[in-house]
Amino acid sequence: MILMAASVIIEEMNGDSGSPTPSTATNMNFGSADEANIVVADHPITCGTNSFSKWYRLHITDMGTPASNLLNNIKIWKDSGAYKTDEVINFKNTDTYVTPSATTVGGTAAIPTSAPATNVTGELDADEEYSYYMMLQLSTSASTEAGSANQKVIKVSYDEQ
Amino acid sequence: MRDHEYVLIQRNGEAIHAVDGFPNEMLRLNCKTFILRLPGLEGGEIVGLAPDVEFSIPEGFGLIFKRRTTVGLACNGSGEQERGWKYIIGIEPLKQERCGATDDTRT
Repeated sequence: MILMAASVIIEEMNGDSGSPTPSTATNMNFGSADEANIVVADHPITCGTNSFSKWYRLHITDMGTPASNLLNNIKIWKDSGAYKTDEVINFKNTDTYVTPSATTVGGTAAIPTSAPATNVTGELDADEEYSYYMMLQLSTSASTEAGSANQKVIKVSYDEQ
Repeated sequence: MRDHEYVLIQRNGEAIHAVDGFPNEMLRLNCKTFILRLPGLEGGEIVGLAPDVEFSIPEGFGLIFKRRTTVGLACNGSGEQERGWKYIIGIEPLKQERCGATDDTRT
Protein backbone atom coordinates (compact mmCIF):
# COMPACT_ATOMS: atom_id res chain seq x y z
CA MET A 1 0.00 0.00 0.00
CA ILE A 2 1.35 3.39 -0.91
CA LEU A 3 0.23 6.44 0.99
CA MET A 4 -1.35 8.99 -1.26
CA ALA A 5 -0.90 12.59 -0.28
CA ALA A 6 -3.94 14.70 0.39
CA SER A 7 -5.50 16.47 -2.59
CA VAL A 8 -5.38 20.18 -1.99
CA ILE A 9 -6.24 23.00 -4.37
CA ILE A 10 -5.57 26.71 -4.16
CA GLU A 11 -9.02 28.14 -4.58
CA GLU A 12 -9.85 31.67 -5.61
CA MET A 13 -13.14 33.24 -4.64
CA ASN A 14 -14.83 35.88 -6.76
CA GLY A 15 -18.09 37.72 -6.80
CA ASP A 16 -20.38 39.18 -4.22
CA SER A 17 -19.69 38.22 -0.62
CA GLY A 18 -23.22 36.90 -0.35
CA SER A 19 -22.65 34.19 -2.94
CA PRO A 20 -19.00 34.03 -4.02
CA THR A 21 -17.90 31.69 -6.76
CA PRO A 22 -14.93 29.34 -6.22
CA SER A 23 -12.40 28.53 -8.94
CA THR A 24 -9.14 26.63 -8.97
CA ALA A 25 -6.33 29.15 -9.26
CA THR A 26 -3.80 28.41 -11.98
CA ASN A 27 -2.09 31.76 -11.59
CA MET A 28 -2.20 34.76 -9.26
CA ASN A 29 -2.38 37.53 -11.79
CA PHE A 30 -3.57 40.95 -10.63
CA GLY A 31 -5.80 43.24 -12.64
CA SER A 32 -8.56 45.80 -12.60
CA ALA A 33 -11.41 43.31 -12.59
CA ASP A 34 -12.84 40.65 -10.30
CA GLU A 35 -11.91 37.53 -12.24
CA ALA A 36 -10.08 34.32 -11.47
CA ASN A 37 -6.93 33.62 -13.51
CA ILE A 38 -7.23 37.09 -14.97
CA VAL A 39 -5.70 38.03 -18.33
CA VAL A 40 -3.53 40.97 -17.37
CA ALA A 41 -3.54 42.69 -20.76
CA ASP A 42 -7.32 42.84 -20.74
CA HIS A 43 -7.53 44.49 -17.33
CA PRO A 44 -4.50 46.73 -16.71
CA ILE A 45 -4.04 48.55 -13.42
CA THR A 46 -3.73 52.33 -13.69
CA CYS A 47 -0.58 53.61 -12.01
CA GLY A 48 -1.48 55.10 -8.66
CA THR A 49 -4.30 52.65 -8.01
CA ASN A 50 -4.67 49.17 -6.58
CA SER A 51 -5.50 45.93 -8.25
CA PHE A 52 -8.74 44.31 -7.29
CA SER A 53 -8.23 42.29 -4.13
CA LYS A 54 -7.62 38.59 -4.67
CA TRP A 55 -8.97 36.02 -2.24
CA TYR A 56 -7.33 32.61 -2.09
CA ARG A 57 -7.61 29.73 0.34
CA LEU A 58 -6.54 26.11 0.56
CA HIS A 59 -9.33 23.64 -0.03
CA ILE A 60 -8.86 20.00 0.94
CA THR A 61 -10.80 17.90 -1.50
CA ASP A 62 -9.46 14.57 -0.21
CA MET A 63 -7.31 13.81 2.83
CA GLY A 64 -5.73 10.88 0.97
CA THR A 65 -5.62 7.12 1.43
CA PRO A 66 -5.07 6.31 4.18
CA ALA A 67 -6.18 9.71 5.34
CA SER A 68 -3.61 12.12 6.63
CA ASN A 69 -4.16 13.25 10.19
CA LEU A 70 -3.54 16.92 9.83
CA LEU A 71 -2.60 19.60 7.34
CA ASN A 72 -1.15 22.77 8.82
CA ASN A 73 1.82 25.15 8.88
CA ILE A 74 0.43 27.03 5.89
CA LYS A 75 2.65 29.75 4.47
CA ILE A 76 2.54 32.18 1.59
CA TRP A 77 5.35 34.35 0.30
CA LYS A 78 6.76 36.01 -2.79
CA ASP A 79 9.60 33.82 -3.90
CA SER A 80 10.95 35.64 -6.93
CA GLY A 81 10.34 38.57 -9.24
CA ALA A 82 11.32 42.18 -8.73
CA TYR A 83 8.94 44.99 -7.95
CA LYS A 84 8.83 48.14 -10.00
CA THR A 85 8.97 51.52 -8.30
CA ASP A 86 6.42 51.73 -5.46
CA GLU A 87 4.84 48.45 -6.48
CA VAL A 88 4.04 46.11 -3.60
CA ILE A 89 1.87 43.08 -2.98
CA ASN A 90 0.02 43.32 0.30
CA PHE A 91 -1.21 40.30 2.22
CA LYS A 92 -3.81 39.65 4.87
CA ASN A 93 -4.71 36.43 6.72
CA THR A 94 -8.43 36.58 7.39
CA ASP A 95 -11.49 34.39 7.77
CA THR A 96 -13.79 37.02 6.29
CA TYR A 97 -14.28 37.29 2.54
CA VAL A 98 -15.10 40.72 1.19
CA THR A 99 -16.37 41.38 -2.32
CA PRO A 100 -13.23 42.09 -4.39
CA SER A 101 -12.61 45.70 -5.36
CA ALA A 102 -9.77 48.15 -5.93
CA THR A 103 -10.41 49.80 -2.57
CA THR A 104 -7.41 49.50 -0.28
CA VAL A 105 -7.93 46.56 2.06
CA GLY A 106 -7.10 47.45 5.65
CA GLY A 107 -4.95 45.48 8.04
CA THR A 108 -2.48 44.25 5.47
CA ALA A 109 1.29 43.94 5.38
CA ALA A 110 3.68 43.46 2.50
CA ILE A 111 3.85 39.81 1.56
CA PRO A 112 7.04 38.16 2.90
CA THR A 113 9.83 37.73 0.37
CA SER A 114 11.12 34.48 1.85
CA ALA A 115 9.43 31.55 3.53
CA PRO A 116 8.03 32.87 6.82
CA ALA A 117 6.78 31.15 9.92
CA THR A 118 3.17 30.07 9.58
CA ASN A 119 1.23 33.07 8.30
CA VAL A 120 -2.06 31.51 7.22
CA THR A 121 -4.47 30.11 9.78
CA GLY A 122 -5.54 26.52 9.26
CA GLU A 123 -5.46 23.25 11.19
CA LEU A 124 -7.30 21.06 8.71
CA ASP A 125 -8.15 17.45 9.42
CA ALA A 126 -11.01 16.43 7.12
CA ASP A 127 -12.20 16.55 3.55
CA GLU A 128 -13.84 19.79 2.45
CA GLU A 129 -12.11 21.95 5.02
CA TYR A 130 -10.58 25.30 4.21
CA SER A 131 -7.81 27.53 5.44
CA TYR A 132 -8.35 31.18 6.22
CA TYR A 133 -8.29 33.45 3.20
CA MET A 134 -4.98 34.65 1.81
CA MET A 135 -5.96 38.09 0.59
CA LEU A 136 -3.53 39.67 -1.86
CA GLN A 137 -3.71 43.12 -3.37
CA LEU A 138 -1.14 44.83 -5.55
CA SER A 139 -0.67 48.54 -5.01
CA THR A 140 1.12 51.10 -7.15
CA SER A 141 1.84 54.82 -7.09
CA ALA A 142 1.98 57.50 -9.73
CA SER A 143 5.72 56.83 -9.87
CA THR A 144 5.30 53.20 -10.89
CA GLU A 145 6.58 52.72 -14.41
CA ALA A 146 3.94 52.02 -17.04
CA GLY A 147 4.06 48.75 -18.90
CA SER A 148 4.00 45.13 -17.86
CA ALA A 149 4.97 44.29 -14.30
CA ASN A 150 7.69 41.73 -13.80
CA GLN A 151 6.53 38.19 -13.43
CA LYS A 152 6.70 37.00 -9.85
CA VAL A 153 6.25 33.60 -8.27
CA ILE A 154 4.05 33.34 -5.21
CA LYS A 155 4.63 30.18 -3.22
CA VAL A 156 2.20 28.45 -0.91
CA SER A 157 3.36 25.58 1.27
CA TYR A 158 1.76 23.31 3.83
CA ASP A 159 2.73 20.34 5.98
CA GLU A 160 0.85 17.08 6.03
CA GLN A 161 1.14 14.36 8.63
CA MET B 1 2.75 8.91 -7.53
CA ARG B 2 5.00 6.36 -5.92
CA ASP B 3 6.89 8.18 -3.23
CA HIS B 4 8.51 5.39 -1.29
CA GLU B 5 8.17 1.78 -0.34
CA TYR B 6 8.50 1.53 3.38
CA VAL B 7 10.07 2.88 6.49
CA LEU B 8 11.92 0.63 8.88
CA ILE B 9 12.98 1.55 12.37
CA GLN B 10 15.52 -0.68 14.06
CA ARG B 11 16.71 -1.02 17.62
CA ASN B 12 19.81 -3.06 18.31
CA GLY B 13 19.61 -4.44 14.79
CA GLU B 14 16.06 -5.66 15.23
CA ALA B 15 13.18 -4.22 13.30
CA ILE B 16 10.68 -2.82 15.73
CA HIS B 17 8.47 -0.84 13.39
CA ALA B 18 8.04 -1.30 9.67
CA VAL B 19 5.54 0.79 7.78
CA ASP B 20 4.37 -0.06 4.30
CA GLY B 21 3.88 3.34 2.84
CA PHE B 22 4.94 6.51 4.53
CA PRO B 23 3.64 6.74 8.09
CA ASN B 24 1.15 9.49 8.66
CA GLU B 25 1.15 9.41 12.40
CA MET B 26 3.53 10.10 15.20
CA LEU B 27 5.29 6.93 16.25
CA ARG B 28 5.43 6.32 19.95
CA LEU B 29 8.56 4.47 20.85
CA ASN B 30 10.51 3.52 23.92
CA CYS B 31 13.03 6.00 25.17
CA LYS B 32 15.95 4.28 23.54
CA THR B 33 18.25 4.65 20.59
CA PHE B 34 17.00 3.75 17.15
CA ILE B 35 18.13 3.52 13.59
CA LEU B 36 15.81 4.87 10.93
CA ARG B 37 16.05 3.40 7.47
CA LEU B 38 14.20 4.66 4.44
CA PRO B 39 14.93 2.12 1.74
CA GLY B 40 13.22 2.60 -1.56
CA LEU B 41 12.64 6.29 -1.12
CA GLU B 42 12.17 7.71 -4.57
CA GLY B 43 12.73 11.34 -5.30
CA GLY B 44 11.96 14.15 -2.95
CA GLU B 45 14.12 15.39 -0.18
CA ILE B 46 14.46 14.38 3.43
CA VAL B 47 14.96 17.11 5.98
CA GLY B 48 15.62 16.47 9.62
CA LEU B 49 16.96 13.11 10.59
CA ALA B 50 19.02 11.58 7.82
CA PRO B 51 18.20 7.96 6.97
CA ASP B 52 20.42 5.22 8.30
CA VAL B 53 21.62 7.25 11.23
CA GLU B 54 21.35 6.49 14.88
CA PHE B 55 19.16 8.73 16.90
CA SER B 56 17.55 8.79 20.31
CA ILE B 57 14.17 9.98 21.45
CA PRO B 58 14.04 11.68 24.83
CA GLU B 59 11.31 10.85 27.28
CA GLY B 60 8.03 12.48 26.40
CA PHE B 61 8.89 12.84 22.74
CA GLY B 62 7.98 10.87 19.64
CA LEU B 63 9.08 10.55 16.05
CA ILE B 64 6.98 12.47 13.60
CA PHE B 65 6.85 12.41 9.82
CA LYS B 66 5.56 15.28 7.76
CA ARG B 67 5.34 15.89 4.05
CA ARG B 68 5.77 19.52 3.01
CA THR B 69 4.26 20.52 -0.31
CA THR B 70 5.10 23.77 -2.02
CA VAL B 71 3.19 25.18 -4.96
CA GLY B 72 4.43 28.18 -6.91
CA LEU B 73 1.99 30.17 -9.02
CA ALA B 74 2.88 32.94 -11.44
CA CYS B 75 1.85 36.45 -10.63
CA ASN B 76 1.57 38.58 -13.77
CA GLY B 77 2.60 35.61 -15.79
CA SER B 78 1.00 32.32 -16.57
CA GLY B 79 0.72 28.89 -15.15
CA GLU B 80 1.97 26.86 -12.25
CA GLN B 81 5.69 27.43 -11.87
CA GLU B 82 6.60 24.79 -9.38
CA ARG B 83 5.19 21.94 -7.36
CA GLY B 84 7.50 20.07 -5.05
CA TRP B 85 7.59 18.18 -1.81
CA LYS B 86 9.98 17.03 0.83
CA TYR B 87 9.77 15.01 3.98
CA ILE B 88 10.33 16.56 7.33
CA ILE B 89 11.31 14.02 9.95
CA GLY B 90 11.66 15.22 13.45
CA ILE B 91 11.17 14.62 17.12
CA GLU B 92 8.31 16.40 18.81
CA PRO B 93 6.67 16.24 22.22
CA LEU B 94 4.02 13.59 22.64
CA LYS B 95 0.58 14.81 23.51
CA GLN B 96 -0.83 13.23 26.65
CA GLU B 97 0.68 9.79 26.12
CA ARG B 98 3.67 8.78 28.13
CA CYS B 99 6.85 7.99 26.33
CA GLY B 100 6.62 4.25 25.99
CA ALA B 101 5.62 1.36 23.81
CA THR B 102 2.89 1.80 21.24
CA ASP B 103 0.44 -0.03 23.46
CA ASP B 104 1.20 2.11 26.47
CA THR B 105 -1.92 4.21 26.93
CA ARG B 106 -1.21 5.50 30.40
CA THR B 107 -1.32 9.23 30.83
